[in-house]
Amino acid sequence: MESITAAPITAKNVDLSNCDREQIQFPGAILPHGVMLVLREPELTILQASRNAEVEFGLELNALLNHTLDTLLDKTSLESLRDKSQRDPLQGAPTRVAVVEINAKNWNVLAHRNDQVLFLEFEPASDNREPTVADLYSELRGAIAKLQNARSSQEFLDLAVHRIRAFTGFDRVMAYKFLHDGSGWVRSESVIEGQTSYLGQHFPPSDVPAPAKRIFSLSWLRHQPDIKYIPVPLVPENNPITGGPLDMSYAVLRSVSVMYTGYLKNMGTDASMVMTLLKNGQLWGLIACHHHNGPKHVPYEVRTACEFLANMVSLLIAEKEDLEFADYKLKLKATQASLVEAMSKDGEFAAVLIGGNPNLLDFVRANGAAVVTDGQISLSGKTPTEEQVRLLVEWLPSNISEEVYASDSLASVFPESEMFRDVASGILAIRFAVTKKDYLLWFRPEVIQTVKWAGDPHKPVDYSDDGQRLLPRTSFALWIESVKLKSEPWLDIEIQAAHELRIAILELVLRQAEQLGELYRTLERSYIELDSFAYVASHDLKEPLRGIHNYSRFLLEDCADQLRPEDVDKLRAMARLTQRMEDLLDSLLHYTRVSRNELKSQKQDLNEIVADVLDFLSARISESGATIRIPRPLPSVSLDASLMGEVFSNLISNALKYNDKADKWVEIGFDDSAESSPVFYVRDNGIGIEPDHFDSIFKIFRRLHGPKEFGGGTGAGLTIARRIVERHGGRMWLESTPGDGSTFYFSLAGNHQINEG
Amino acid sequence: MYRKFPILVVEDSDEDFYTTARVLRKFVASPVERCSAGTDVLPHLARKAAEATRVTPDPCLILLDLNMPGKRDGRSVLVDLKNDKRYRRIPVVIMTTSSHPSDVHHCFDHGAAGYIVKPVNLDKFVESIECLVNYWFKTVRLPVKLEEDGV
Repeated sequence: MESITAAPITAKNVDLSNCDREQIQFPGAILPHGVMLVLREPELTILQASRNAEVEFGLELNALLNHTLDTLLDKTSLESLRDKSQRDPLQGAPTRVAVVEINAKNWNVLAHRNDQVLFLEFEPASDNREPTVADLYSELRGAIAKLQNARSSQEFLDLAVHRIRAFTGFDRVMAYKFLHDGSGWVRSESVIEGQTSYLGQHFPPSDVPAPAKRIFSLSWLRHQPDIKYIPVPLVPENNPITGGPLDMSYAVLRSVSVMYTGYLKNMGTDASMVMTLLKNGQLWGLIACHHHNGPKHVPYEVRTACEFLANMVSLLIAEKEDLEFADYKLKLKATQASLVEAMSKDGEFAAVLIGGNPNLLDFVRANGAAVVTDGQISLSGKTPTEEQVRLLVEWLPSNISEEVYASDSLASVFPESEMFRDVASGILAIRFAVTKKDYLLWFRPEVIQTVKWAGDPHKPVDYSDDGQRLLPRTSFALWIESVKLKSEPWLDIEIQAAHELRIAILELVLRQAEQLGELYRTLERSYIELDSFAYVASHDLKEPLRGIHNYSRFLLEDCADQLRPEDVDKLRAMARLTQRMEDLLDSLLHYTRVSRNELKSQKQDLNEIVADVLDFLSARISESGATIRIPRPLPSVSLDASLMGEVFSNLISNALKYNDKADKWVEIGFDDSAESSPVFYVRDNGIGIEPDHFDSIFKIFRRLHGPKEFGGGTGAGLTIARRIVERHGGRMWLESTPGDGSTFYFSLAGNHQINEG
Repeated sequence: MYRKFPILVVEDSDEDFYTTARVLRKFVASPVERCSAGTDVLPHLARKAAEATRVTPDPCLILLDLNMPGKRDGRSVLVDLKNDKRYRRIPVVIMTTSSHPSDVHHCFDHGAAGYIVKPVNLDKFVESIECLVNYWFKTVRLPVKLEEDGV
């Protein structure tokens, strides 16, 4: 088989394995009902002629080839032809340029230019029994008026096929639509009584191979008056100007692929005519006319009328198809507008999309929906489980690059999805960010469909008797397939609506990001203001404080002997209280600085930090008689060393302070058994804390004990320690049993981010 | 040795000036002069220089508060003094409530000879002043003209 692929595939070596590459524009032969002459311009020398010219025109080929056209045509016809060909570019579909009489027979002369030559195709002209132009015109006018009034695409196509059959006289006329998978679907049919109907049946993609689709897009109409024809070769075989085979892409007499005629023969067709239907410039389908009752030649005039009608059908089909979904389209637009409006009022998109009215399930028709944002999954309706949705959104971005993805057979691309086939055989997915896995998803359940195939689609071919050549299938018997793992298909307008919703949401997100940025800048400003406020306040408050303090002291110095002992005590209390107020102001200032100042993070050996702290606290440690335990060396972590020293200093001095045991101990350690970053702790066997107070001990200036108990303090230490931990992206919490001791834990989760920053 | 050279205290708060002057007198006999606004400092020094018979010489030490109302706070007074070749030799020690690092940096960058954060606690303040006097008047050779220097 491989050796065949090297040579061009033409009518000579084609079979079904390679007909996708058959160069059907180069058949080297024509249909036998007409005659083809290939001419060089401007002198109109005959370069090639179909062999049947001898019989039909009664002239030896030698008398034609390399002679000019005046050997064949009289002066008047020749002048008329010259005149037309000079005025008309004659590109594309052939046009009739003359009606001539040759060898006592009337011929329509169709001309077109291609492949550097002028093609003249001679077809037998109509006799008097054929309809006149006037008849055709009134017929067409009536047909077009009715087509325009059709209220659905079904009614529209039914009308079209009926009309075309009425004025061509074919036994069967079908409107055939190409589906996404390349298969064809008979949407409408008009058929003579006694013939099997193909209405609603599907034809596998191999029935219309790629080269045929290309030809369909080039010419509006192709006609085979006799399927059982014997091709008439061109003489000479090649185009003398190009030296290659003649390109007959546009020729009406082009001999067709034996694959095609074989296929039509197997369908019991004797004659055929096929018209192309385009929707918005894309191949939408075909109108196929079949005759089952012997050969049938459709004259040029009728063909032109049919071609015109097919053109009208092409122009109107988009409008008619849209008409059917007009109401649905309106509903989609209205729902989209409501959704976007609700989201713009409530920043919680997921809550609006899932729980709002309307919500995602009021948008495109679906049985379930999901919103995936920042790894959070919200589900609504009949959906796969959260775990399964998670699997799906893991799979999606690495396999699907489109921002909007629709599939009515998810299992065919994502086999694992078979386990939730009953809720999500079909999905429609909108992706929001390229970097994040944020999705909106709609689910449709499996619907076991019955597809009627015209013949077994899994055996679209038969083998030739010698078993060497693949041939078109012979069986078109109804073959019913039960299609599983598929949902109802997603309509184009639904996919379009999803695109529009995506853009609307993105615009919203962008606008909110701008607002958030503004908010952040305001916050930044107020932080700076708070810092300078705390700074100025502490300075300005301290000055009068200092005055009170100093003057009370000077009074004591200068007039202690004139004062009563209780006055002396009051003055001393005044001095002490001003001192305490200064401490509080300092703590407040320190707290705002810890909150504001930039972290100077780098990799630090925590053992060194703790050693420094213990050194600093050494007097208090030996005074308390406590034992310091460090069960195993601490790790190195990225952090701000001076701030983290303060955390340990606070926790350790608290542990020393709030301890009434005879054998006091403080343990400093960490737990790195979890996958996330290690959890550090400072544990003591001190007085412990009631669970009721777990929250309040972190509040600034909140003290559980009197100012003289346990050595006093401002009550800002834990607030500052927790703030420092939070600045490192971690958190601080505690466990405690009153009477037995407390353990303060803190993590520095997110630490790596600080490291990178 | 420096008893005839005054100490100039630039301080807007009367209470703070009273305290400073009172504590200074415990440790040093030098006269204490005062400017209560930043804008007064240069005019005060100029006026002294213009006196026909110099009653008192230029101060041998300036204690400067940073946060003062008016057009020139301590930060700009420091810059003015250090930019004026007549006065740039006089050591300026900052005495302020502010412990803000940016203030500390600014003052040393602009030629401050020391920086003391005023505590509320009087005992601590007395300690600071004692230290200051010991250093500037008993340890350091100040850039003033002494009689023993001769002509």
